[in-house]
Amino acid sequence: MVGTIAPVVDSDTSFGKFRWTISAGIYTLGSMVGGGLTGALLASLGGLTMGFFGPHRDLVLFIIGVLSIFYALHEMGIVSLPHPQMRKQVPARWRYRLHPYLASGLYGLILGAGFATFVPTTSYYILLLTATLSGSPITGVLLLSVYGAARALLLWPSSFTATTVDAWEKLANFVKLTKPVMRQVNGFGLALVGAGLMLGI
Amino acid sequence: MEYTLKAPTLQRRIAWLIAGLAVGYIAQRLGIPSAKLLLLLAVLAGASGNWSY
Repeated sequence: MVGTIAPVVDSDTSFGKFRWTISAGIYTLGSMVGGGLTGALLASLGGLTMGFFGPHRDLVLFIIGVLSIFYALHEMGIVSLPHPQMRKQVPARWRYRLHPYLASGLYGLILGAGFATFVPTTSYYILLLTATLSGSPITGVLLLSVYGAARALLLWPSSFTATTVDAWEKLANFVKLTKPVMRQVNGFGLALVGAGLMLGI
Repeated sequence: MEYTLKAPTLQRRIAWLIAGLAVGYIAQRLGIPSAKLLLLLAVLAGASGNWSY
């Protein structure tokens, strides 16, 4: 993904590093807004039925903890659980048809929201579930905007280290190569959160 | 030809799982609130988003 977004302004070499930085900033902001809006919407929907701070708060946290551990097993490849996704990519033509700032913002919105593209790890589902069941728009916005920010922030160090097409290809290959490691780390994280939530109530 | 790292062995995956559970238990014993753990997961899930394409 980073290989698509980072060169969003590099197709025009006259664009310059300064404008690239603005574009990347807009992308990062868009990603946070996309995540935040998703979190707010889900939490508002969840708030219509139940809230974290109601009488079921402990039960909700316990259920999220249990599901986290199940999805940790999924990420480890030990079991297979449902992980519905749209399996789409952001429209590549935006890079050529839209102004780089607008394209960056729109890419950020879509990728930060998360659900409209490939979902590489099921940790994302736990976040969506937590935001929904919290019933608190503040919780939803906080969780998913942090997700959006984290999704965008890796762009920055990678863009400063990879400055040529060849370097971007190497980075894309590295991303492909390390996918099993990424899933294992997510499994570790899900197990950690699951245990923490189940024992913390 | 497409190269990827081999998936870790089952024993290694289970070891990672147990390690995750253990760290979660320790975090809970240290009094780290659930909200912070969930924020940690948000950072992890977000950063992992770069592996989708």
